Amino acid sequence: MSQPAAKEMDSQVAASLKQTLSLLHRAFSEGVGLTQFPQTLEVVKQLQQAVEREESVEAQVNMGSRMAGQQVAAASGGGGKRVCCLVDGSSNSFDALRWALEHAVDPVDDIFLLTVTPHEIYASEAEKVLKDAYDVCHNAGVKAARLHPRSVAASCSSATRGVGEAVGHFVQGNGIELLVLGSRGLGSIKRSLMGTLGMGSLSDFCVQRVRCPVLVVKEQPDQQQLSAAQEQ
Amino acid sequence: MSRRVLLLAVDNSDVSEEVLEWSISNVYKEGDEIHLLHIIPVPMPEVIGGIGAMDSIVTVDPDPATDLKHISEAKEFMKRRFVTKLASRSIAYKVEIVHFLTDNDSIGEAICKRAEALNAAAVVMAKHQRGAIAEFFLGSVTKYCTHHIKQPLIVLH
Repeated sequence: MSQPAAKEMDSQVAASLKQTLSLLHRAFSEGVGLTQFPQTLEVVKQLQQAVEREESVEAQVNMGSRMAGQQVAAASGGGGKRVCCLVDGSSNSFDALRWALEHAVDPVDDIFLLTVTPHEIYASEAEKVLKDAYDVCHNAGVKAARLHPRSVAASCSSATRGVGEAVGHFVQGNGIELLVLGSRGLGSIKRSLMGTLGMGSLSDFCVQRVRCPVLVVKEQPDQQQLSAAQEQ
Repeated sequence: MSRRVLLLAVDNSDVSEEVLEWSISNVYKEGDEIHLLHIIPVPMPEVIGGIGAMDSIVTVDPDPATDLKHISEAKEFMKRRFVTKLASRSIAYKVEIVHFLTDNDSIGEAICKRAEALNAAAVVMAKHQRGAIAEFFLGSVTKYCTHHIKQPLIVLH
């Protein structure tokens, strides 16, 4: 896109953002939800100031997303941390989930079960993966109120980057304080859609880029033989 | 019943103290042993010259005085940053300072080997390590461990 056209679009987006924010500001200051979320008013005010300062749209979106994540984390209360477990249907990802539940998760923690779909045609497969993960947590004694299954779409067609970026945005937007993943990369969904990637490349991407502690649970050797057998 | 061992890779930085705090708050369970590992990399001896067969290669050994300084510095910061905290909370711990000829990859390798030998229940490290030698590239130890370690690994930022 040419420079003037890009700037024009930026200013259009900024204008509509300004409008949305002033509406939100009015709504919140007139008492809608103010008593429950006084921090939200603060968030909106800060975003308005950022728009006024005409910071780039991307910076504003990033800031908004980060602050929303923090507010969400603060609002959840209870002193528990927000854990996100990435599941993809592979036995390794469920092992990682089980290990995390046993060793790193407290009963007060909120657990987000996340699966990333490369394409919407895999929506039903994603549902099944989330349901299986939910069952694993349920069997481990986690209360239903603490479990939040979520499915997001990969951000682009490149497998590692698409999934990795989607995970990164989710972590930022939801105030995640611990990310849990297995190390064999995507399971059946990826295998059917794309070729194999280097081993552990998604975990590497997340460790480097995601802004919260990351727990990587490696596939154990006996499990590797099992899953190799399953593939055949 | 044998103790669960948590292996923490630490160095002389505030981040490492956060690693300890996080591990105690989130992974540590009563009865676990926290194993603090610090690796002092020693540069390889330089090959100055040589003719023909191996036994005529001349090398310059690293200065032993610097090594002793590194080791005593390590002992000091281990005590100052970590031991007092652990002792005051009655947490079982062991301090390990490893010092050997290495390059960057080998630090990661050493961590992986120790994790295996100790049969660690989990390994915790910060995203960036700082060796005693400044020119080591930051972050590659974590990368190595992410790829090669068999135990559950937690990387903090």
